Amino acid sequence: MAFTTSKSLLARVRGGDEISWGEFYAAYRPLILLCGGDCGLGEDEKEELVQQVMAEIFQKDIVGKYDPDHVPENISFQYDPKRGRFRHFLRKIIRNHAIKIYRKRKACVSLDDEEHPVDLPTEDRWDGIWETQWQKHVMNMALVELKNHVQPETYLAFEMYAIQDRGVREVSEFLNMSVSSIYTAKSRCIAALKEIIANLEEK
Amino acid sequence: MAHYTAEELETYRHGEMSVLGRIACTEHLKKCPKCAKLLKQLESDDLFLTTLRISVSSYAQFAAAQHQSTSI
Repeated sequence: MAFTTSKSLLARVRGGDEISWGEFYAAYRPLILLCGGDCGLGEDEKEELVQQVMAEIFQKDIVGKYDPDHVPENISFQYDPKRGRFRHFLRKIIRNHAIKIYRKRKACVSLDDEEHPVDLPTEDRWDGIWETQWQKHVMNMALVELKNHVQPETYLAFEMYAIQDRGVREVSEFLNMSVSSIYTAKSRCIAALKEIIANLEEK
Repeated sequence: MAHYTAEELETYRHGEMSVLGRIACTEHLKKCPKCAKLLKQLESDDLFLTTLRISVSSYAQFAAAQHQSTSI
């Protein structure tokens, strides 16, 4: 299958294209927040984590200056591919800032505060958190991109049958498609998704 | 030897094939590595879909929680 649509955000980041704050923030905020949550950070701490990670990636003093949802378009960054895989770069930054937030917490709360544990996730646990959340991130990005690669009715059949897990007969009747067409839509979308994921993932 | 399509194997593994069709398909699968491989592939796609559903559900819950916190 040939991919003729514009490059994915991740491909552009990897390729060193200029990326705007808004686009990057919308795509990566959930990943950072979910990693923070899995590490045991509180709501305010997770938001702080997002701000610190974004500020470091964009290497600009933006924290406190702008509403994160409305940062000017000219605030952008270009990833230097010589730094290695972006995935590893991002993982390291998130981990480092989570550690800083934990240390700050440790200095503030008493040791018997059960609601706010002071122990950092171990490296192994952190690896597990990161891999799980990265996988979810890539899967969701791929699904958004899938819409550009298949016919709307194919996507709808896939969404109802494979993602919403509805019965094949129900989907077939609802969409006025044959059962065989629903299965074809599923196979086609899975094949396309696997190819999109392979392209999204760093080689 | 004629082979089964992915769609036919889907109906087979979801129990939607006729009794006679099912018997014929079972016999065929014992002798045909190509169709047996395709059936395995469909089964492995189920694992892929499970992971996809978990990912989608996780982000949907996240979005709902975010929406709730901003609307309070």
